[in-house]
Amino acid sequence: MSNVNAKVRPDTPLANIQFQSDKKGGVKFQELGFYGHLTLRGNSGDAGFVSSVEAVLGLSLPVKALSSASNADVSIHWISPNEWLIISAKGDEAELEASLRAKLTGHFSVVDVSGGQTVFELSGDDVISLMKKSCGYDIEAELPQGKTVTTHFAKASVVMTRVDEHCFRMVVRRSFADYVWRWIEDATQEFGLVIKL
Amino acid sequence: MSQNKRLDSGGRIDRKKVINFSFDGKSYKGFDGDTLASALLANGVDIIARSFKYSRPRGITGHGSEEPNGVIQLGTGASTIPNVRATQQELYAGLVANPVAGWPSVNFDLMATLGKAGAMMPPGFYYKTFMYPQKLWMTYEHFIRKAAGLGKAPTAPDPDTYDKVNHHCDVMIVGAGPAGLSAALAAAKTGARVIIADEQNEMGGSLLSTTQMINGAPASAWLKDTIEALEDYSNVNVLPRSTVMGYYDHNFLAVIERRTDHLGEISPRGARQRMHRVRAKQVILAPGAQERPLIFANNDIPGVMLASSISVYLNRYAVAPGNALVVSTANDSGYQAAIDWHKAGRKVIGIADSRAQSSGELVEEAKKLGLKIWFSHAVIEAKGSRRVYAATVAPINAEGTQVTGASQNYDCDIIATSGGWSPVVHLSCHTGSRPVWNDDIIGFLPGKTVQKQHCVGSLMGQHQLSDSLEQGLVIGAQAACEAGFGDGSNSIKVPSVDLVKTGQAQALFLVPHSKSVSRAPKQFVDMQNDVTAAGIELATREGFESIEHVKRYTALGFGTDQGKLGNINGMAVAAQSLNKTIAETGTTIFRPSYTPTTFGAIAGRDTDSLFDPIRYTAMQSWHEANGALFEDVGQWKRPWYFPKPGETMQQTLDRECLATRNSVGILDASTLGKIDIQGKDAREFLNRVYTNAWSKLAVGKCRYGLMLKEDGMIMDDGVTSCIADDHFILTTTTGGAANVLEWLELWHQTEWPELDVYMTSVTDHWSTMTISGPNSRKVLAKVCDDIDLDKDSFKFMDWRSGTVAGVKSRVFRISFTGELSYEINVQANHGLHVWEAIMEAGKEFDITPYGTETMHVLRAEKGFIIVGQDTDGSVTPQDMDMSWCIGKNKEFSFIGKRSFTRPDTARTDRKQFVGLKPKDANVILPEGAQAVRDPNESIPMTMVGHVTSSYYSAVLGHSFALAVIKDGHNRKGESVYFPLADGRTIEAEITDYVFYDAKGEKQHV
Repeated sequence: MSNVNAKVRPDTPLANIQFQSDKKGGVKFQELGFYGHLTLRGNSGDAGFVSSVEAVLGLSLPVKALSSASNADVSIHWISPNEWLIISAKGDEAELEASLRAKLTGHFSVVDVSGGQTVFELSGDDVISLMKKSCGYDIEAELPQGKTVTTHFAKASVVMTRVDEHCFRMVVRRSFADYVWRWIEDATQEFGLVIKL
Repeated sequence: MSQNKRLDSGGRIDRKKVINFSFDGKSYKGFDGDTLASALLANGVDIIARSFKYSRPRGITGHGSEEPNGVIQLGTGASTIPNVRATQQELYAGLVANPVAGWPSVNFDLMATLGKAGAMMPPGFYYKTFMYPQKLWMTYEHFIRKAAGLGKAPTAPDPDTYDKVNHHCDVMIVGAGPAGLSAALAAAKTGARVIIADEQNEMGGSLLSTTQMINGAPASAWLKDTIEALEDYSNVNVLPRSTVMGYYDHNFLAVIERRTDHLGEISPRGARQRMHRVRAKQVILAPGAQERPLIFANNDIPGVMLASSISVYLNRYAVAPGNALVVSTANDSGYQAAIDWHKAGRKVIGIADSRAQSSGELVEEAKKLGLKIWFSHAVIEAKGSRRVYAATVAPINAEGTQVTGASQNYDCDIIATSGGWSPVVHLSCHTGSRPVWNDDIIGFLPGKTVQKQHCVGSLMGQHQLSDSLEQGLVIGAQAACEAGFGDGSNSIKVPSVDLVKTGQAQALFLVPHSKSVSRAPKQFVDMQNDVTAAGIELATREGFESIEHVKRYTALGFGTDQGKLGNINGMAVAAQSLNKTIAETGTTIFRPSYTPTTFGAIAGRDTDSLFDPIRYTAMQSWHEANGALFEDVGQWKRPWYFPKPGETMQQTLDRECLATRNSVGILDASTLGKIDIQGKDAREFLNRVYTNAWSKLAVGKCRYGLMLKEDGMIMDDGVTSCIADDHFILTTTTGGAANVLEWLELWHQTEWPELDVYMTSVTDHWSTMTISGPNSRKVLAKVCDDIDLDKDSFKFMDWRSGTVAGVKSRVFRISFTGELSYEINVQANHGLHVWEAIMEAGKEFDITPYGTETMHVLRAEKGFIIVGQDTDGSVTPQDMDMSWCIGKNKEFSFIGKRSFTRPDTARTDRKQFVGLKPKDANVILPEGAQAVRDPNESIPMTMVGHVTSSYYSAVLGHSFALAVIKDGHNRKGESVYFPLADGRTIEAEITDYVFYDAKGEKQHV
């Protein structure tokens, strides 16, 4: 160990992209890297499971299909009847995992997937047009604020949440991030693309 | 000769904007607002094509997507598009167009000069003439196609881009004529999301050329107001220049928008064409109706046109494509052409009306204008070759089956024809609905459908403008209501339009001639494919009674126009010939695409590097910077090998292999599938999905597992490690990751839901790097000080948690090379950092990065299989000599076990996994080469197996291979032979499949 400078330098999946930002544009892009991501599995019919999750996160467990709950730092998204994705802006996934494991009982699983996922935030006046070029989901009518869907973006699978009228967040798998980025870069040529670093 | 057929005034063209263009190598001028067809007609260009079979000169017949003759090659070089209808192509500055048919040119045609090859081409010509010898078919076809000409595909990459947009709407309206526009207005008012698409550059359909008034003003005023109103609605999407090419199940429609084809050959702004993928709650079809020509002798001579097209060219484009007109009609609407022609100051020679009389308004108007009308007459023949010079008019009987008296020729240069109106049922057919013949409208109507679909306007045989406008409003409100908007009643005032009183039309298709059909000059039914009435009669005489068979035998409707003009007439001729009604013979149906569609529009942006996702590991930038060449493994890019300057591939592999065997190598193994399994029943679940036993695997231990399908054949393999008593991490092959997870979920959810187990993919979470070779422990020791690396405390098939290069890691002591080996897993955001730290630490040992190819060689030297390479879905664990991996004492069964006792699985002469050593140490057997026992056996030889993996081994100093050979386990030491396609026969000795370190000592050091 002594021979090596072990200064730890993490990289987001888009660490190697040389971003070329337009001065103004109809779509804004930001990679929200280094967020904590945990996959939580369990039985929402088990009151103990529900209350334990709520106690740890301070958020009620979204049991309704395709719903989510969030506060300033943490959000939790319904993925399937027994699966949720927890995203923490603070990158404190290890602590969250430990707290959940300490509190949960019975059959459950908590898996750290932080290294395997990143979050792309897309916003701007033309963001709906970009989404329609990239995704078959009915963004306009079927994706209100706070709803989370697992769908496709171009040919990559993503977990998509509407943040507000003109802002979406997509959870993208690390290995697909470059492809999704290149698709966005291509599809926004007609709108202009502003990169938020 | 500049635009000598252009009228002095009128039309929806801008005379101030002169546009230069060229056709067939000659330069012309037109105006903004012209189509290529209207501009060519304005310039007096008669011949724009040569026919497919008979090479006859052909001119413009129609004015829209139905056009069978005016099909051109637009542009040149990489951006050229074949099979564009001149009637739909808007003129732009510098447009270059050429005929698709006619070689070497339309005016000097080789086939015509050689004596009309068509004389030798009766229906069924291909079948009769060129069936044998079959191998020459390609040669015949090549010649025929070149001479006939069906357009040329560009050979260079397309400089333009194309893209796609997804839409969801409540009401999708196809066609923006009076009915479609009204429907859009009514639907829009309810707040429903509306899309209205029309293939023309301007919306309006028949309103663009009608002379009827709406609300007491020219129709163009209502049209303008309506389009503006629609564009003002935020819930309405107006798509001009957009062809609905296909209507598919669940109200999914594909709409091709030509965004820039009217601006130039190469797009000046973004995508040239855009495919709108529309998913609609309700669909309103308002595509209108298509005028049907009457069939008579020589009806293909340039100058014979649809009556409605005459009006369109006069009123919309201010073009009079001739001087002296004869009309042949079976209904009132044919009179409109004569009235418009007369009002344009051109000469109407006369109107031949097949009916005995009519008191319709248009007929009365024609009479008032003093136009000559011949009732109970028809044009039975056109005279001319490169242009009509006369029409032969004869009296016919009331049934329209016989000429009843002497004919007379009238000099003219243009003949307008109207046999009635065929509803455009194409789209309604796309979803499988069969159209239904209706005697009242003399046409097919849309049949029953399972789609949420409404039909309105001329499509339903309503040809009154007032009906279309009113019904459009009604249907628009109704469709919106069914989509959940409004109460279904229309609240928009119906525009006032005078009803046009019309006389009864006659069902006339083929006009009789004084000679029989087979003796008369050719009467063309389908002009694009040169199908004649005589040809259809011949087909029925030869026994083809099904209309689908007649179609295929004669090629009726097979052209790029899908027989839009010819099909109904063809059905009528066939029916008449078979003494049946059209209702009895029925019709063929139409399939997508409505008009020819470019491949670019279908592909969209899913091309080149965006064609398929390319997946990268966290170390990709390092691999690229260090000269890696890449191999595609599934969607992943994996380093293949890392050549140094001047090295051949084999030299690189030799270097990488020897470095690993003698010191230390490093592999990026991040792409291996990784599945996290948690739950109290995780062990039992593993027991059931793997062949071997997992009950006793202790925490901190790893085990190789073999996964089978139900048929007992190997499906996947990998190492699974015990993280905690109820927590395991399972690895899969790179290509199998998604399938394996799906497979495990399937079994869990459908067969064993009682097992408490949750599975989560963590493939992307972990970056995995394998250091392998006798010095790997020393390298690891330099970057890890919290794991006891002593060989007796951290043993082969153990894993430990610790810190590597400052990063929390899981280190697995497993080996795919047979060497001392550590697989280091770190959270992927730290992957590159740790990789670089290991490379730095390994410098003193000359640590060597290697890729998939060296990995393959190293594992093959050890006889380790790769599922999917050495197995192919037809090999069992026993075939692979892996019975050691099958648990004998498991309480529950495991997937595939039952199949072991099937007679075919249990037989002993199956292909079995062995090694091969070529007699010539430098010859590398081709993978896939088939083995025979006797090289001198005559063909077909008895094949006894094949090579699955084959390499040169630097450490062994000779080539070697892995193979599956029948009864191979018992035949070690024998020779097998590989006769190759290049004439060589390679001899190899069957050996054990482990070539290196047979005792397996090196991985335990």
